[in-house]
Amino acid sequence: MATRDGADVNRVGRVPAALIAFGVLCLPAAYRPRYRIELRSELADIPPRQQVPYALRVLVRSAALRSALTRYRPTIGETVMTAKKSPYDTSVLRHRQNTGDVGHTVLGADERVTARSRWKLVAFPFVLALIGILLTQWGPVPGLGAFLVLGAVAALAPIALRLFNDMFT
Amino acid sequence: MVSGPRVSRATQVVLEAFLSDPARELSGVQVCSGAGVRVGSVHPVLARLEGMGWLESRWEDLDPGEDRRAPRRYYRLTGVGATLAAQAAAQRRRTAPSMRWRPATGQT
Repeated sequence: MATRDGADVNRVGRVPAALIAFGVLCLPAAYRPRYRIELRSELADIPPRQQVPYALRVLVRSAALRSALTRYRPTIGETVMTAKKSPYDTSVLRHRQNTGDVGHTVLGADERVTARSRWKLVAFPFVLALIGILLTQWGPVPGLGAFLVLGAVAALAPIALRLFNDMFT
Repeated sequence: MVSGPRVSRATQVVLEAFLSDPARELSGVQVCSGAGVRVGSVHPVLARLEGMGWLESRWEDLDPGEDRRAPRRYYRLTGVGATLAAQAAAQRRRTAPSMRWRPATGQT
């Protein structure tokens, strides 16, 4: 089937559609309707054999897309607070007046809660590490505590690297 | 406020696709095919550039009675984005030789 502009439109398979739907769930809630439509329309623009690899790539890159949306996309039509350099550096904030396309179905909630969410993200491994240390010291199964501590360290490592990168770049 | 994004390799490739015809609107798939990037991997770059004000996007105009499919999202360079992208491309061309880590083949 061809559209009015001559481009071919293919049937969208169930598996790639499901993968796209899952990838969209990783995005901020305000952007999900837009990307659900946009990615599905792109799925129809590529041949059926390439749809699953495309959907897998979208799924893999959904974390990067989420990061780009939360870091660079402000609320439409209102003044919001955004991090100047690093999303973790909450002490350096500036007001930013966005005059973007009001046609976007973008809400401000996600942008405003990102700083709080990131602290929750950091707090979770810390709590995990604390429980692990307590279990190692006084728990019935020392191995379980060590396992939790190692898990917490693994969870904190990318965050620490990101902080380090933002501090020196 | 419009400021410069981190110009990674993927960003450069995407910008070059738009700079080939700054007035042209491209969907995500068209950007990939024009830039030689794997389909499905450009949306973070597009989102970042759009957030920085270099790109703007709109939904495709569809006739609901005629076109029974999802509308495409089309991106194009803004005026500021075209200027900054051209500057970034020129700067990259100037600095590219200094990024070479080893002599080219045939040099000693």
